[in-house]
Amino acid sequence: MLKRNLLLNIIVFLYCGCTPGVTPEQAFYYWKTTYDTGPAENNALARPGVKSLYLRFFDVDHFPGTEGPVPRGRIQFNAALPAGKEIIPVIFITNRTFLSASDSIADYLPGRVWKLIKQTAAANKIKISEIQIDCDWTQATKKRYFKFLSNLNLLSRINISATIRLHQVKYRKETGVPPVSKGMLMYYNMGTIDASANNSIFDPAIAARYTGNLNEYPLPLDLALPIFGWGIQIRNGEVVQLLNKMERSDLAGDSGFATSADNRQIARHPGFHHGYYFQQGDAIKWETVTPEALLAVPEQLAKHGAGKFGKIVFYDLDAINLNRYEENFFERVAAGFR
Amino acid sequence: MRKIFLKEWLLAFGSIVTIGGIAAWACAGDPLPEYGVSAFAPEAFVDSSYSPFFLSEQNYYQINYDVPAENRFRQENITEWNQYTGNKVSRQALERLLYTATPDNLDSLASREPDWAKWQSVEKDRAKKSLEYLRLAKRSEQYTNPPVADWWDQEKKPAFDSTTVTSFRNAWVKLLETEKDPFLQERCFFQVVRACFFQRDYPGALRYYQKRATDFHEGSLYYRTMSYAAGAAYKQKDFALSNYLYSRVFEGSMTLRIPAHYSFHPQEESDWNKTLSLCRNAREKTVLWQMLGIFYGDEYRSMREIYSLDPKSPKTDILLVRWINKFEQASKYFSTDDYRTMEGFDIPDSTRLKGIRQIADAGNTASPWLWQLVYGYGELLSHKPALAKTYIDRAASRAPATPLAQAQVRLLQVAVTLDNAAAITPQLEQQLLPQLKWLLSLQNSDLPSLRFEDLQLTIRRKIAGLYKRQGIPTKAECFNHEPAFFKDSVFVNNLEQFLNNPKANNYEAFCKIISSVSPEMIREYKAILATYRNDLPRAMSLMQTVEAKETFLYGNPFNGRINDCHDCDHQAKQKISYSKAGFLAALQEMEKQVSAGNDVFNNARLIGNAFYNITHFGNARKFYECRIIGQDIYVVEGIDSAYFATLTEMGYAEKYYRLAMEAANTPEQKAQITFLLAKCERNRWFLQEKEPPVDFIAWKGFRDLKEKYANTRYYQEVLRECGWFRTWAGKPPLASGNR
Repeated sequence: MLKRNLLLNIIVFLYCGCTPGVTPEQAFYYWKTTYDTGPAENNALARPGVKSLYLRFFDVDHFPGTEGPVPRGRIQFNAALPAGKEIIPVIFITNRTFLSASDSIADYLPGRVWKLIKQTAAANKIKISEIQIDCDWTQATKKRYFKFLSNLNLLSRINISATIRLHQVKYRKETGVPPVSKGMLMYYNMGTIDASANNSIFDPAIAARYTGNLNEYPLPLDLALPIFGWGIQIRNGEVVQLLNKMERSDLAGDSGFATSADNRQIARHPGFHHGYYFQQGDAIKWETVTPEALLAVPEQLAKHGAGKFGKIVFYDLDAINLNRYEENFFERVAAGFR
Repeated sequence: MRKIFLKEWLLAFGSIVTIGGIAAWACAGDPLPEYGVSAFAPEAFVDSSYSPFFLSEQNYYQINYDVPAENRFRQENITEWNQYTGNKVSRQALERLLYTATPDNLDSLASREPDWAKWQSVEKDRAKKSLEYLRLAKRSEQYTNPPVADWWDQEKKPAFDSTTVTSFRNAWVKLLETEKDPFLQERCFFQVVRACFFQRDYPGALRYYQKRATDFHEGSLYYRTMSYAAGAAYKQKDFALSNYLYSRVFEGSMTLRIPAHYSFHPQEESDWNKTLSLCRNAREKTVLWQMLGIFYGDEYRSMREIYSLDPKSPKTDILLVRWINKFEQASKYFSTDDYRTMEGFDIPDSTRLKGIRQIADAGNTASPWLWQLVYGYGELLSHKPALAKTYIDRAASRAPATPLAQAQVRLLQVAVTLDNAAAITPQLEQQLLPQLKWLLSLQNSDLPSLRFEDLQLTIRRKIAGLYKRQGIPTKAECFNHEPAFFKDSVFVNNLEQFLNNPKANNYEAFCKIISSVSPEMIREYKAILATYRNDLPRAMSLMQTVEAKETFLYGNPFNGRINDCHDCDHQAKQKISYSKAGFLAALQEMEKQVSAGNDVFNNARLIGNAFYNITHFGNARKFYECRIIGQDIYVVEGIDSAYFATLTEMGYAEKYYRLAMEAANTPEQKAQITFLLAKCERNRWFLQEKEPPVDFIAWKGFRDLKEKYANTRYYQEVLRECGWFRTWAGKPPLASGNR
């Protein structure tokens, strides 16, 4: 057992190029449909520790009742990509795409996806040497998804990484390990979105329940950490919707909201704010990830013998998110993984 | 409720997040209604033009996804052209010219249409101008109706660029300026605004629109043009104007009502208030409030706003009915067990119900009876039947005379009558009888929109409950089947008598009709119970009188395996198939042989197997499956407590196995019986209250088998086939598993 772990660690160490004592490189995810960065985002990308940008190229989904999987939200560009950084296209595929398909999807989808990736890259003069597939697969879709990945690899001959969510680490035996060269551990969205006092984005206690066997995971891993936040609109103890890309401060000056004892904002009157409609009495529970919480991650993971990550990647690159953290914050987090 | 919105956000984040409290629909395969639990049909009271907005789990009621757009305007477009030609050119001819012809073959096709040619001879100028218009319109489809893209090949996407659209826009502007005919002028106007939109000249689109909009009448094209103007305003972030225009479209155009609904999107209170200020009159404001109420789920606020603007406005109808449909979801009134309610709706509190009463009492709405009915129904759902009766009866006297509305009122009145009764008396029975008969008849009614199922079930359960409380279980059973009743043999006999009574009065006759249990089912049930008591003569005589005697058991009920495998037994070839009656006959024969002392070992063993197999653990569950006991019970927890003991009883199997044991001569025979007895022990062990901490223990049968019969061939078979025994006996597991 010990021997196997040692061998595994050596492989991981060699493959991901992570050397103990060296701060892992940093990266960001960019997840909007139009690439349109401003000073905050550009500065973050310009930091020396940041070597790559994970850029969502498009989603793939199969809308119920329609013919087949289609690409959605293909990236448009309103700004220039950062010079000197590796661009890694990310394709997000919904689980239902594989769920409602026949096994043949693993044969026809890789070609379509690869073609669209190449077209998008060529049209925007992006050189790619690696791609990432983001799919929250389940036991039911495991076979098709993994076959899709193998076929994509055969076809493209390019390095492919896949996102790995916490439940896929814990239940590795049931959900399997995707046939890729590297995984990206998504260390967020740990809890339930509900009216309770929990933080659904980041909860170390919950994460600990999933990472006990992390050091046995047979793929080299990068680590994705959350820097996003959202509001949860609550009515009568039930969730109405997520208030995305909104901040508590957006409503700071708004006399239409009072603050409750548990630090939620309560709508005094019914009305529209930021495109959302609030009924009188609706509450907003804000969830963010504090700098302290992120800085504590290396130690938490080290407890499980994990902590060898090739890259530390932050989700997602957006001025609203970046404003919550100091400029050198990201390398500080990464440094914790030395 | 913007539930679809939420799902889109989940997709965007691609996370493992789960949501608490979002609508939990039952498992796939269950065709539950899209409106959840309900006894109030919007169709009865709200104009059908609003039907897509009736409360539904789907995006649009009975539509779900709004699939546009190519054919959305086809019929009304043909109608307008047909009217323009004074009905001289037929719809079919127009359909061909408008939708099949290309810009290049339009002229030649038109000349080959006799209708067109005839019209042309009378209206030469109009015909010529029409063709000119249509030719340009068809060529404009390059940018208005580009061919469906191959999603996966972006390079193949037809690129129409600004310069292409610009030249079309210029052509349309020129045509608009020179065209004198109002019909064609309006169409050119539409094309101009649309071309600007596709050119992304949003200020231009708005400029043209605002300059000439009042020149045209409010027909279908008018609203299509307005929609483009609304879209242009939105693109420029002039949300106030955009939403105002969408409200005009929502109100004025049936075909565009759904797109206007989902394009309506106020951002801040400031632009919402500005939208309201753009209204030319109170009526336009009521449209806006109605849209807000529907789209953003704040029906109560909207109804009150509309009421204060114009008490007689019918725009509150849909809001009022949506409101009560939501109330139904949260109410605990309906005693349904099968998750029919839509979750995630705020519970309208009693304050709001009082607010509705206020308006009902004021009596100055267009349909006061609707407010009275909704309020009364709300109080019924809140368990205030006296108050409910007052208002529902009041509403009944003035409700519309349509069959659906009358049926809806009557449905609620049945519930009201019942809820106002403390007990069921003979008088109440006679009073309810016609209503109950009517309720039953609804199964075959020609009112498909009437939502009676949930209420009917509730009424039946309530009546059953009353009878039960009053000590009349036979009638209770007729209204609502309750397995626990059937434990009592006195009840069973009483029920049988009641159902067989030739002197039943009219009410009792009705009870007999609606009872889900028939005299024959009772006889079968008694036959089955008798079998489990080993009273075979009685069992056989009763079984002969029912159809189920011909029901064949899957598998051989006399088979006893080491490893219970029902599927294996069911799939194995059988030399003899046993019906329920045949099974009993064979069983009786074997018992006779045992009594006579013939081949006791084999016969007793087979009888033991039979009694084993007719329990839950055996392969002959089919024997006990019947209406009263139930069927397809796959887990022990699924057996109703009334029959649990009977269906899991190992006593008779053990008794006959022991008889076989006494008659056994060889070690092989004894080994076999020992193990069969172990299985019985094991089954008893499974039935313990508290879940045991281990999977199995060394039952007496195991110990005996190992101690006494380890040298038999049978012992080796058990080692091969029973993994637990093998483990306990200390042998390593077999390579392929022990099955």
